[in-house]
This record gives sequence, C-alpha cells and structure tokens, in this order.
Amino acid sequence: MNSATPVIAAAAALLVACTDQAQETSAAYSVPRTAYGHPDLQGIWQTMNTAVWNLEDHTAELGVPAGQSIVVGGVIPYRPSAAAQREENRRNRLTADPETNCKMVGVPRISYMPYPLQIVQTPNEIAILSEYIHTTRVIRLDSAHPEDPVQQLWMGDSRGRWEGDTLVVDVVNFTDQTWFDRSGNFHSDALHVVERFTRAGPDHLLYEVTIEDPEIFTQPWQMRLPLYRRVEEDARILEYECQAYLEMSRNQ
Amino acid sequence: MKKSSVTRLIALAVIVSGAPVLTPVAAQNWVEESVCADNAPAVFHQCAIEAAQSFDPPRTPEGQPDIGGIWILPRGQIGGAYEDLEAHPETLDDLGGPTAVVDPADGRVPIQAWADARWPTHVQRYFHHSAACLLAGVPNTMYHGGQRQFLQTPEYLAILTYNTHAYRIIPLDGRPPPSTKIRLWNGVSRGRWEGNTLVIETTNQNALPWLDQRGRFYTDAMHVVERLTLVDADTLHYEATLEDPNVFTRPFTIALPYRRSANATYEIEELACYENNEALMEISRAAGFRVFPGISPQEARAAREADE
Repeated sequence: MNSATPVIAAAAALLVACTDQAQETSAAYSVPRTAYGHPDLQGIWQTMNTAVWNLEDHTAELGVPAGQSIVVGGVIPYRPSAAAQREENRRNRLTADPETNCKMVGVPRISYMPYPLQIVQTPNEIAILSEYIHTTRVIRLDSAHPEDPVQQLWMGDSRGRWEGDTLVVDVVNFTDQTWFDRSGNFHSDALHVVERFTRAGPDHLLYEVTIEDPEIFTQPWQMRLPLYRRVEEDARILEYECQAYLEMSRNQ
Repeated sequence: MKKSSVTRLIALAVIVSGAPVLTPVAAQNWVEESVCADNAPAVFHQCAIEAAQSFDPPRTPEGQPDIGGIWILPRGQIGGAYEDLEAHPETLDDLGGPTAVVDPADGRVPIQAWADARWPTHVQRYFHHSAACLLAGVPNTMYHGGQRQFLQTPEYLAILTYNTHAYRIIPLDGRPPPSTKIRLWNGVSRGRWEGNTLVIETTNQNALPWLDQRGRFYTDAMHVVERLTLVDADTLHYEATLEDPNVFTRPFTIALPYRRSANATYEIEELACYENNEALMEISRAAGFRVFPGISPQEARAAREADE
C-alpha cells in the first residue's frame, strides 16, 4: 500500500499555486533549524478560522460563526452520490459527527480543531500532540507505509520527508468513520492525504493539504490555512478528555 | 448479571484493553543483557542505584543523558504493578508479581486505615479507568499496559504510550505549575536534570484514576516525584515517590526496570480504545458501574477523623 507517489503526480498541477507561494515565503524567511539540521517546526500551534464548523464558505447560524472557505478554489468536488450523503450527514450532524461522540477526528481535521497542538521533533520522528482527547500522531521520517497493515487507523498511517524547508507527510490507511468538519464533509477509507508544513515566519506555519479519495471526489482538492503559534509565555497543552466528561454526565 | 461476574468481566476487559494483544509478538522483546538483569523491583532498585554511580550515559548533542527510544516494562505489560502495587500471586485474572514498593522495605503501601477499608469496594462500583479508556494518571501511566516511546528534546520530554494512546509532555525549562484550579487526569509535570537523573514533579492531578487494578486511590493533593536514570545503555531505572497525606501514612517509593526494545524501529500502534469500547461500556453501565467520582481531601479528612 505504498500509494504516495501517484497522487503527488496527479495533484501536481493543483499544487503549483500553493507551492509557489510556500517557496516565496521560505525565500523571504530564514527557517530556524534543529541541532541536527532539520527545519524546526516545534512549538504549540493553533488555527484561527471556522474550518472546524465548515470547510467551505458559510453564513453564520446560532452557535456557528460565519467563515470563508479554506478549500483552494472554494468548493469541494463531490461526486453526485457523495454530495447527497454529505447533505444527509449535515442533517444528522448533531448526533452523527464523530466529534459529538468524542471520537478521534482523523487527519487533517485534528489540525484545525479549536484545541492547541504541540509539535515535538527528533531526527527520526515528529509527534503532533493535540489537546483534543490526547490525540497522538507520530510521523515517521523516511520510512514506508506498512504493506499489510493489521487494522485501519482513525488517525491514518503518517510517513514524512523533508522537501527543502517543507515537511511533507503522506497519510493513508484511514477508517471511513471520520469527517472533515461539523457540517458533514466526509471521505471513504480510500482517503489519501498529503500534508505540507512550512515555517512561514517566527510564529506561523503554512499548512497545505491535498485530499484524494476517488470514491467520493471527482478530483484531488486542497486546503490551505495558517497555524498560529501560541505565544503566551506559559502556553501548554492541557486536556480535553471528551469521552470522560461524556461518561461522567451519565453519573448524574 | 451479578456484579461479581461483571467485576470479573471488567477485570478481563481491563486486561484486554490494556494488553498488547494487537501487538506483534516481536514487539515484546527487550534487550535482556543488562548490568541489572533481575526484574524484581527491590533487587533491580538496589543494583540500579549502585550501577548508575559509575555509568557515563550516552548524551544528546546538548549534553543531556539520552533517554530517547522505545521502552518496555518486563511483566509490567499487563501484570505486576499495573494489577497490584504490592506482591500478588498469579491467578486466572492476574499475571502476578513481586511488590513494586521499595520504600518502605516491607513492600507494603503505607495506607491509612480508613482508606485501606475503602479501596477494595471501588472495583464493585466504579469502572477501572482503563476499562473505560480514560487516562491513567501519574504514576500509573508509567506502568500500565504497552510500550512507551520517549521523544527527548532540549526543552521537553514527550512520553507516548500504547494504552489509550496517552501522552505526557514534560517541560524541562523550570516553569512553575498553573494554579490548582486546573486539574488534569495526568496532572501537570515539570522536569529537571539533576546530574544524570531526570527528576519529574507532578501536581494538579484530578485523582480520578487509580494506582492499580485493585482500586487504590489518592486525592488531588497527590505530589509525585519521578526519577529516571540510565544504568546502562539499554536499562532505565524508574522510581516514583508518592506523597498524599490524605491517604498514606508516609511518602512511599516504587521502582521498576525499563528495558530498551530489542527492535529499534518498533512503532507503537494506534489503540482506538474508546472508539471500540461501546458494547462493553453498555454492559457495565447496565450493571451499575460509573466513573469513579474521586475522593476530595475534605472527604478523606472526615473519613479519617471518623475512623480515629
């Protein structure tokens, strides 16, 4: 299941605009490096947008702030049958959204949840640790996806490599249980995600994502958004133990 | 279903959910060659104290002892301290093992009388935290099921674990903890290097997890000091001193051997514990089990006074 390369070729045309911008950004900014020479992505990061409610442009509703699309081009290219499922998901979102049930939310959704992420780097792996139900991602560098995975993974199988100053992460072997947002945007277990993390300044990461899932979408599509550093002196990851609070609410 | 049989079911579930049953057998191999090869905590502890004095550990580029890598607790995968901090026999439910308590020397948890009467009732009424896929607290996170991966940087030690994919992020910059209005399942930890030993202090725990499957508990006054010291390149001496005057008659110390995985490229698998646990939880809820609500310091003091 070494599926990294085909989608990169397929998505190359789409990526051009973003990649150009990323390269311009890195040309203008000298990226700090770790003692072993890798670009240093470490810190506590968080998004500041409305993607978790809805990836696409949306008007405000009660409890939902209005927001602009983080989808490059603005619109997700659903196949017609999948678009119908998306509408059904949206109608059932208050009970059917995995987040409502305190479950792991998958990739890339964990990156734009309203909880901070801490990135910890070593020469061989990069951990992305979220405050949301202690979700853990470990991105192994320069290693291949397992050929015979024993189980599908809620957070997928992540393998990373450095392309210049950009961390490129290839993620496969997902379940079909997670959604992209609270409005019912979804995928199948054929999902293939390629993430690109680039330092865009002292306190910003450019986060670019290519989504490929031929069962659901007519073509690969992209998200593009910044991650902001939590600059508070005592910034730290706390806990949002969603399932614990849900279970304790049954005690009453 | 009778509660006693449900208790057995829960115990079994705890073992299953905490056990590396999905993990390849090869993952269980650790480097056996060690200057302190005996896994019995008391024997290992004494050996480790002496061995560490003459060991010059491998270091990171910044000069800290390098404790990164994949670590395994022999027997502690599902047995040993995880089941019962004290010595206990092998049974249908337990792998058994010697006591993890090295101080006091009798290997017993120095528990106050009222608390000693209280904890055995807990497993009859409340989920063990692992059965409900909840975080295990400190120090239980350090001896519950599965492997641990240490990611070490100059500023942080991140400890990733298999069970419930729990992690700890331990800053090494000397920052103080937040106020006690913030209570976390795994508390707030801060580390510092004292010579070749990483000393980690943990406070701010919500005290809802237990110390073992027996139901030994603590209050949110718990103060834990862990000490991690390499005694050779593949052996780490783990010690934790637990202090909670609401429950214990004195501070006590547990010690355990951590042994390096024989497979340097081993990867901890995703354990979607909660996501796959609903059927068992429904049975347990129907039998009346609830999340342990904790015992406050005030409750503990009142119980002690009533007992005296």
